[in-house]
Amino acid sequence: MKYVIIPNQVEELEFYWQKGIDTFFIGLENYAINYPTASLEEIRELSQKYSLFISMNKNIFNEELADVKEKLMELAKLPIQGVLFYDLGILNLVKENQIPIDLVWHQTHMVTNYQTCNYYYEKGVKTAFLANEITLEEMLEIKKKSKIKCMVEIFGYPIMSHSRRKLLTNYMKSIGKEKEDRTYTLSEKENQYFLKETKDGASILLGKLINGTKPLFDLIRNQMDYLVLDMQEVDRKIGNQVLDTYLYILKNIVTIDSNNQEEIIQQMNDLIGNHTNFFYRKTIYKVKGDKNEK
Amino acid sequence: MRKKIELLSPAGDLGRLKIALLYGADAVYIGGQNYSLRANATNFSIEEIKEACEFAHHLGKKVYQTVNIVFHNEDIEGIYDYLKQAVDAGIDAFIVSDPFIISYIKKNFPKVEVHVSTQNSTTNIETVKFFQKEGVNRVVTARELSKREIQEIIDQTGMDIEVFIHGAMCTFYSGRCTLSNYLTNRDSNRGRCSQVCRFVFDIDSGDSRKFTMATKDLNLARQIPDMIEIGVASLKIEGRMRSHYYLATVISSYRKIIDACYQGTLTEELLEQQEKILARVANRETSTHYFTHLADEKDQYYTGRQELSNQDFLAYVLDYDATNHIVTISERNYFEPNTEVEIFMPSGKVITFTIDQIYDEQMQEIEKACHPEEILKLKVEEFVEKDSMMRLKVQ
Repeated sequence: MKYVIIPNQVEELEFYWQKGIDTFFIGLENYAINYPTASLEEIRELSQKYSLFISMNKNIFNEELADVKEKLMELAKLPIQGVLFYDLGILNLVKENQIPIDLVWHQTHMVTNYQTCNYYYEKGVKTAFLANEITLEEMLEIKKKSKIKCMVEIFGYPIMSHSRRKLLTNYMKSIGKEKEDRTYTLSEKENQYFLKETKDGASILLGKLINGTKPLFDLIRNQMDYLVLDMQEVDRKIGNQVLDTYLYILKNIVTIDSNNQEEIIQQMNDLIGNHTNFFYRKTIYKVKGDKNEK
Repeated sequence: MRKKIELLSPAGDLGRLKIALLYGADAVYIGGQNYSLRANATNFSIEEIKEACEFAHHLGKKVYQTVNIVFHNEDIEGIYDYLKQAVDAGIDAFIVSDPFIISYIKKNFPKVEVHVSTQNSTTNIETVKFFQKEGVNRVVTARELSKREIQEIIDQTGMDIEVFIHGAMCTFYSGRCTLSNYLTNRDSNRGRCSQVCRFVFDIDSGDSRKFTMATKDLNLARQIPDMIEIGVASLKIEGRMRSHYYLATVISSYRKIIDACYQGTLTEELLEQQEKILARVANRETSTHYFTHLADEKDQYYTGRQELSNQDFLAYVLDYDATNHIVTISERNYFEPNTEVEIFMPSGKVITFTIDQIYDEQMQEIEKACHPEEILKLKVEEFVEKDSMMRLKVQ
């Protein structure tokens, strides 16, 4: 069980390494959605010191396949932990070409049940990054009923959606302005969301930080394999305080009693708010009139 | 020689299913009571699925059932019985998105076809090859693909490819959007999408104009010859919650275009006429989106909702008395004598006339038709097929 950091920028790896974090997610340039990216050359260098998972989580198009295959073969030569994939074309390329690389199933919102985890495990995928939209109970059930290693995001601004469309550019054109190279903020009622755009399209993130402190205790006690902190867009000072607290929890989990636990949770609520995302909240979905309708 | 391209219609209930098939769909896709991505549609009970399959098979047509939610742990229990009942009812294929269900169906119900839903956002040849090895019979490609990309997939895999040609579009990659979960607590990947992409937002752009991300609808009527040329297997219409009239109109138009392509009779005039008809039932502007170009600013809305409604649909034909030349109709929208109308029929035939007198059920003349669902009668000289629809004349 260990913490994994998604840094705001690749240059921050050393800072976190100094704090005792040795495993990171970064994206391969041109092939990652909502990750800080590095070129293959940079990854080659970084992988000598840091333990890296490389994200290639974009939807792949035909014209990219040859290059994707080449990049996978190059990555396989490096001492990286694995490649996070969204597109099943990557899984097919790895299997068809017998590329010796570990894959992490990272279909963002679709990693939601133990049967599909087992399905991928049998295909040779040994790790799954669970969806942010399932409950803690569901996560623990997946951990219990599948052989796959699991990753859970416990801190960060969760991504909600991704489009191939250049939503910001299009909007700016419609009002006769130039798009700036920054994250924009959308608001609706009392809520805020972040809108980012790259050459691969636009992503929307929730404008609230996931506060995974409360579930963290259960995740650690149930031996969840990887606990992910996403520092992108996060105020550096706040991110550090959260990381320090989480490192303290991991180190002292055996001695932290229920009073200490509540105290820590309250401190974190005060710092980053009490948004526990879907850890304790189920979504509505059943068919109208069905006996199971929620 | 390639099979004739399939026209695939949505059907939210048994009534719509019958209309879609009668008006020219070769197959329909439906949702059962669970595991379907349109939880708000009426959806089908097992008895209705059985009736649907019997009706379709009698016409030599097919019924596909969606089981395309992204499964959660709690959805797994009971899946065998659910699928078994559908198989026993006569379903021709399941449309799925979660890969575990592919192998599950192939293992337990090997005679039933498996189609991979657009929910999986399949965008490339390798992904199709992956599904091919899993025994999948058909893949519905992502709506983000161009003609060239679809053609490459067909040429290099030989897989049956189904393409959306008409209806509403998602702003985001299918399966890659949970705005509904976060903003309304409704699970978009389990059939409860609340269409947050059609909401209006403020944005810190230094401009007071609102931000929207809603897309125009899809209309690929003009691209049907291209679809046939590149070897697409099936043309899919979106909208399991659409009305009987909408389905009849859209299916009828695409049927005419497809048949004209195969008969070598497709003309600019025919295309223009069908586009006019399709435009009359559209409630948004349309675009060809990614099939013809990388979607851009012209394919979206920016000033909030611009949805239209119309009252073109005047009546549903219940019966025709050929002896007395009297058609019995169920009224839908207001009309009065001297209104120019046309009746379009399941066979594709269209007749145009001006309404003379309107009668009630007892053949008493009335001044106007203004009570939806009221049974009325009209004198029409030409034979009118049951289940035809009367609309304002399309100019």
